Amino acid sequence: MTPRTFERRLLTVSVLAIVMYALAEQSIAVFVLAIAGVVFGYVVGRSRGARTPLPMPVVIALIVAVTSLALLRAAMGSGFTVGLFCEFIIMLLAVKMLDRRRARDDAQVLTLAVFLCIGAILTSNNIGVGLTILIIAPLLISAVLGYQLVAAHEAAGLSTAPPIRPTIRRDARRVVIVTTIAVFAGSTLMFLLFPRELGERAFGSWREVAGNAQTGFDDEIELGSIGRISESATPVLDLQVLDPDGRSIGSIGRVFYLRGAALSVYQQDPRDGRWKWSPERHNDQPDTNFRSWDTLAALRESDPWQIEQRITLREAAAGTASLFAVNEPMFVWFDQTTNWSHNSISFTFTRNLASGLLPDMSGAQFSYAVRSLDRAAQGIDSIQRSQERVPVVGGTVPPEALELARRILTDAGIDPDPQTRPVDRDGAAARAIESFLQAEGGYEYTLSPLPVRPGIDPTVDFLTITRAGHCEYFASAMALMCRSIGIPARVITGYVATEYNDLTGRYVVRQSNAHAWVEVLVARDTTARRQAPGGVDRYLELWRTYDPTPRNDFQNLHQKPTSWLWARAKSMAEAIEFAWVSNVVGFSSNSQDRALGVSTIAAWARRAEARVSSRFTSRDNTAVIRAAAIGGLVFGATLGLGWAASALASRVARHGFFGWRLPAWLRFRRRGGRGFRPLLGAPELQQAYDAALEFVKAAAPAAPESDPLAVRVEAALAGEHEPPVASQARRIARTLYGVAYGAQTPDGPARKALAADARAVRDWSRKRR
Amino acid sequence: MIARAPENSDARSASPVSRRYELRWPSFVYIATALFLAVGAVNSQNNLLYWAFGAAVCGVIVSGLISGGTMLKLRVTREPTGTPHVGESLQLRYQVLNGHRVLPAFAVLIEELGTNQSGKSRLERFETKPAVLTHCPPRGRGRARASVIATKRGVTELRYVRLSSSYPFGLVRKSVVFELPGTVLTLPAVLPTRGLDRRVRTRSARTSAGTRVMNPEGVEFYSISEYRPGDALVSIAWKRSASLGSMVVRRTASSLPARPWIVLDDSIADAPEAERELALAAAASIATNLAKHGAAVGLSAGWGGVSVTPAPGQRSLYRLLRALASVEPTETLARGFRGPGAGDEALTIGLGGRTGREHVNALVACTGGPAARCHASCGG
Repeated sequence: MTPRTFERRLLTVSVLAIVMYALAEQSIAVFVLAIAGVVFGYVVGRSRGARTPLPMPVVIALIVAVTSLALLRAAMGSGFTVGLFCEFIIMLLAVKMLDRRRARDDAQVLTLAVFLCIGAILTSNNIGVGLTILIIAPLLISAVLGYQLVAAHEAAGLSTAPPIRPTIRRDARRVVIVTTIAVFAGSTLMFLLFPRELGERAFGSWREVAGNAQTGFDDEIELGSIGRISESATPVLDLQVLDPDGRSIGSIGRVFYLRGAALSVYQQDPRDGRWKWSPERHNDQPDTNFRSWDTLAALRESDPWQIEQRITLREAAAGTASLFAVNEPMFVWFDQTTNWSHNSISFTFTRNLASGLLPDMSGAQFSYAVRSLDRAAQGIDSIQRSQERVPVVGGTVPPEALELARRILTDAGIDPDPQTRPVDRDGAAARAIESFLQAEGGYEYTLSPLPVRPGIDPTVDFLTITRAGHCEYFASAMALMCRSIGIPARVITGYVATEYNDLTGRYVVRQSNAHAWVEVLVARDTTARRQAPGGVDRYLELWRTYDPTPRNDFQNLHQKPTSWLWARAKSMAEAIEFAWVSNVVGFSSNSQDRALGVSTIAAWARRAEARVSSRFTSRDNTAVIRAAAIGGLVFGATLGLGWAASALASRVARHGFFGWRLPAWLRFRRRGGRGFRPLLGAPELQQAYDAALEFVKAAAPAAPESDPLAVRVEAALAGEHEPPVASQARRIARTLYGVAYGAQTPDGPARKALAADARAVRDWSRKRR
Repeated sequence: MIARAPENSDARSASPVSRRYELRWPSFVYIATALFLAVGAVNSQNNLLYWAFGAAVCGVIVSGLISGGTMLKLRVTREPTGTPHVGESLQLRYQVLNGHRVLPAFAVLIEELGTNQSGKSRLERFETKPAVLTHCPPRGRGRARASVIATKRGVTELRYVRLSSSYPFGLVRKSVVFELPGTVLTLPAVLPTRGLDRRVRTRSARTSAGTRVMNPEGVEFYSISEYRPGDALVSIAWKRSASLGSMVVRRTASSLPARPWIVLDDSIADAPEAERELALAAAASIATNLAKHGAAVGLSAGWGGVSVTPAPGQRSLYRLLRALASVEPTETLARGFRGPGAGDEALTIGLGGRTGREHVNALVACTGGPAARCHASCGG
């Protein structure tokens, strides 16, 4: 590798490290600015001469400025986060590109690139990061190998480029390939076998998820603000829907509403209308049916469920990860992922409400399964309602909503008065309002933020003045109108699963699939009405889903038309991405157990961790000591195993294994044994060399071994009586000398003659000795 | 550098006498990074960090296997060396054989350790830099050479040669030491004499009947000949050229003593080492220049027990320079010691006047005729 090639590789590795971080951070700005900075540094550094960078005072001033900026941001922000660290590294990288005086500076650039890669891995494990690792790893290895050559020449004080011959290129390529394969194989082995859940969070939570992360979903709605509506195509979760027989019931065109949060309280605010989650209304039936993942299959036949949803949250939000489910859940199973401890669960999960909160998920991947009943088949809530209904559930209703609702129902021929309207007509009333908002009312669906008029409730503003908004406005308007006419209603936020991938049998749910809709409490059907004692009707009721958002407009905005070819390519890419997420990112102790059967090792490791940590639980500095103990345990075990394996391999190679010995070409040679044997390239030459040695030992045993062979042969022949093989010995010595120092290569006849000479000399030497 | 006999020895390599693994600062950075990766992976259960930690551990193992295995299979031989003057560079050439069947060797540094098997690279009387072997194919050979600068006259013993490499990742510097005995003789420096030998020759010409040789620096008229490109303008005989119609130049000649002796005065023996070295350099310079002009130069240093009988030719000069290279103050005269006779011309070199690190006033006394002394300077 010439210095020029090495420099190009250095630049490539630096740029790829930035690309990896930009992919992890999903930031175009980082991508553009950082690459521009590094390339600028590289070009300016080169244009000023290969090794004549910026003056040192300027470089020092830049480094001080970069460091001060990072410290300032850490002090004023939320501490020294991974993101801040990576940005600091990027700035240092750009500065170091300007300051490459010696090979050591190139090594620093490579080190910074490696640190940036680690930062990218800490930031995200998405498939972009994974693919970039596959590309950057061999290039990094190649660059490091090239650096060693450049550094060696610098150490030798050579200013000229090392000579590059095709054989060097070929051998270097071979070393890079072998090294890359070995590193990949070993690291994959480590990835598969390293016990998971060991020492988890011993040092607390490292990762600080960016506070402005847009997932599209929120468990609160603020109509007056821009909200968290997102058009991003970033996948949020994968959904697989199964029937009791284990068959997928998802298909292209079939839509599932994934409920995330049920918002039942509406706060009418002068500035904004706010829908909030009200846990006190729904935590009356805490469900404790949390089970571990491995019992899922065993319980398939025993529970009266109808739909199973398997959901993989690709990156749950920190602190308040919500669970999503299609219907009211009966049972929930969690995959014991590495990022989540089963014992730390403390979330309020109820049958009525499919949303729950997990503590501190730290942006990790998280898988769970929900089994539920089909609400169309039977009602779950049996609620006794008298004719004296509560007109409003949770909060107040603006009079404009009531007026509009009455007009809609009157136009539809439905009694708007809840006191006189039969309960079984509530469904029809809700349907009329839904139809009005969807089509008849002429409301427009738009994602553009609309100006908030001061002093007017945003829902009223939407219903009466702007007549345009996104799904949250439609849902809020319907819920308020239903409430105004005495029908309990609530706003649900979550995702609409529309994008079915037939290659994976799963729905891909993206940020842009975030949606808001309405659930209205209606009678299941008219036959469910029963006459209760005292003249009070009892109804079997359920929360039925209504989506007032104009469906065509919604789909047109969120689903871009694509060609068949592009759609197939996209499906395949998503299938690969899902395989990455489920098999690599989501690789857990359960995966280890299932795939490799290493549960014993993992269990032993966990027990050891518990035993060590239990000794220090009474101390104040438990976390630090525990972490140190775990770190020491892990490293000690790793080093010990490595040493033992190495010693065993060495022993087997030298002495065999219970009588079995390695082939000769695999055995280690004993140090200081036979001594130097020049590699002369042909067996005849080796034989001749051995014969000459034997001759010297026989004829002139006192000749110093340090002398060249030709000299020793001459010394052997200098006696009074020349041995009969003197001419042969001289020929051998001359030929060997020519091969060793004169780059001569004997041809076929010469080799044969040499072999004959060698035989004669060897025979004479053996007789003599 | 004059032609010299192949006396400096080479040695054939045997098995390494020692090997060593040395941690360097990249090793500590690497270990710290690997530690960070391990703690990060364990703490955050980040699967890619587990992979990265595995890659870091494998890096160490692969590095050990590649470079450790290759280094143990290397053998080195030193090729015959030359005989430098002080201030000249000497090429140390090595041939490295890689006995590994599969792996090539890259970026191997070859250093002379002198007689000290361990420790830093150092070679007495030389400023050394390692030779670098860029590449040595599996079961093949590679050549490397180091250019070392001779700093002091004398015999240097070469003994241990270290081959080291931090290939492939620079984590650990692996080195093997071979015993390759040999010697290098460093001759005294031949310095610019600033007219010293000319003045010596002039003085000698006035006082004795020596051999007349054509010499551009000579003062005696020798002949007229045609102008040849390169002749000095001052040597053109303008009047003669005008009368002949073609350009001619004056050739001059100088008389040289036929068999001068260079006698090193006893004052040199007691002088500080730096001054003594410069006086010896002056002697070597004068001898070289006189020999260049055909003189047979002899050497006599009673304080060092050294004498070289005047004889013509390069071989004799080389013998004289070798004697100068190894002369040291001693109490005993060498066997067969002989100084200039009564009728011999002698140039006695002593120390006097102002001396400096790079400059010496050599006091040269020309004898053999009427007593005369001349002062001349000699310096680098």
